[in-house]
Amino acid sequence: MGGVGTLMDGSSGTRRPDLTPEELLRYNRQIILPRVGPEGQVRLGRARILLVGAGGLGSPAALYLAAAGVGRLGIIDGDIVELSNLQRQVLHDTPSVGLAKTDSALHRLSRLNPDVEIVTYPFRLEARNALQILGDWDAVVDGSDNFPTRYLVNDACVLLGVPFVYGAVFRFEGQASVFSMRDGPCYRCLFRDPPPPEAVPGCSEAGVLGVLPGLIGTIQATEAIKLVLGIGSPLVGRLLLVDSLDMEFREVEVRRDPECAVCGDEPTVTELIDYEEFCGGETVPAAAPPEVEGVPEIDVEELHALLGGDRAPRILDVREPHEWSISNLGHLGATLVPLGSLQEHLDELDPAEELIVYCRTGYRSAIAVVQLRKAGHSGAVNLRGGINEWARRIDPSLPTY
Amino acid sequence: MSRVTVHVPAPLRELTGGRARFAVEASTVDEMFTGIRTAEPLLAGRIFDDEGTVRGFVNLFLDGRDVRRLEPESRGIVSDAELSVVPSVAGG
Repeated sequence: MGGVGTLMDGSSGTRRPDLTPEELLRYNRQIILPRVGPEGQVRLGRARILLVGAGGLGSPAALYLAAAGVGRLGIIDGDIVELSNLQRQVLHDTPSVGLAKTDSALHRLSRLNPDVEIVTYPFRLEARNALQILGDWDAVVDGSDNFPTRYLVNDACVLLGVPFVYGAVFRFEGQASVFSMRDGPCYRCLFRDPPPPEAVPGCSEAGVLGVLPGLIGTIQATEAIKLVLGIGSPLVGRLLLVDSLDMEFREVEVRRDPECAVCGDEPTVTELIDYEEFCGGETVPAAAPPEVEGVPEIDVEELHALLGGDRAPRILDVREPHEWSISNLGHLGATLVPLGSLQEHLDELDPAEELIVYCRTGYRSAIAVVQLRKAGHSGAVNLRGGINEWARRIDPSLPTY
Repeated sequence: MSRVTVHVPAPLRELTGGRARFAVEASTVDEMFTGIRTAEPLLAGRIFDDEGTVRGFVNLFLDGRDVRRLEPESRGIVSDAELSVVPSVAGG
């Protein structure tokens, strides 16, 4: 959108208008930039930016925003720092494992830049608290890791008229854009509906290259700083697609949808809703993902009975190797062939054999069964509920994840 | 006929046996859709609903433009093109 204004015209904070000698030194390299100057630095010092999530995306964004001298930085996250976070969540360090992410962030950011006021919310953003929390900020950087929170952030920001800088990552790929600007599109203009819950695995299941959220999170910080300063062309109406494996940056056009449920001409969402339900989460049973409906399947009790019989079926695990190391049915003869490499291993399987296929929850294995049957393996059957269901109902000694 | 290179993003590659891109021959958007259904039926099942409409959690961008928003006169494909399949991802 042309002529995007700055986020704050006039004084929105209580900070002094002039820079101290120490501030002039600390921020020297950006104050001497032609389009920033001391005025820009003062503007940054008056800015209030909220980070939703202090994880992979929120980490680099928080560090750069604090370093740049954003006056007030909010962080909302209800999680605890875990060892498996540290591969990408560079805001936290090894001694922080076990601490609340907000405490760890506060500690690190105040050492990085004591001028920045850090406001922490050590709990999850929810529909009942979102409008109150988000309303206190000039812009929101969304680094959340689940669809219900993403739709919640979008709807709350649109209802409040607060811009939000979007970023999301998956394995080696990422997306970034700026939503909820006047006349610009929102997240729902891009993705009208959430995907079926089982269709998209999260980082814990699918993995993510550690530096990828670093790339996307710093793009988000860049956009937030540009919004505050009112310089450059923001990523409004554009979705940036980053493929770190091929190192390709592509851009697609995103237009405001006049029929959008929340920012359209006749919005149907005028207050916050139940986002878990909207995204088909815990509160409602998920419908079978569209492309795997009708796949032959058995439940864990049936498999248990089959294994006790004379002709035990062959068992195929189509998860990733790291998932196998968490839990597996190797002791029952299961073989690991990750879904992505199934086509290359079809020859090693006997088409006439009865084949029980499982994954974590039964979705990827249903896709595998479709592929196997297409290739002539008519005995392929999906294990409903996957190894997690097996662990819950048959073998509680196995961990679920 | 033009050649449309379809870019399959990582979250959907399990539906194409790991393929990151494939090509279909088409002179219109509708022919391109048919080509995708023939070449990669599982991927097509994720992209299109029973009525053949692009689902709300997937976007198709033909040379950077949303195919849902293409005007009738833009639904012809006159030269080689790139189709980006963009699913929603939530990782952070």
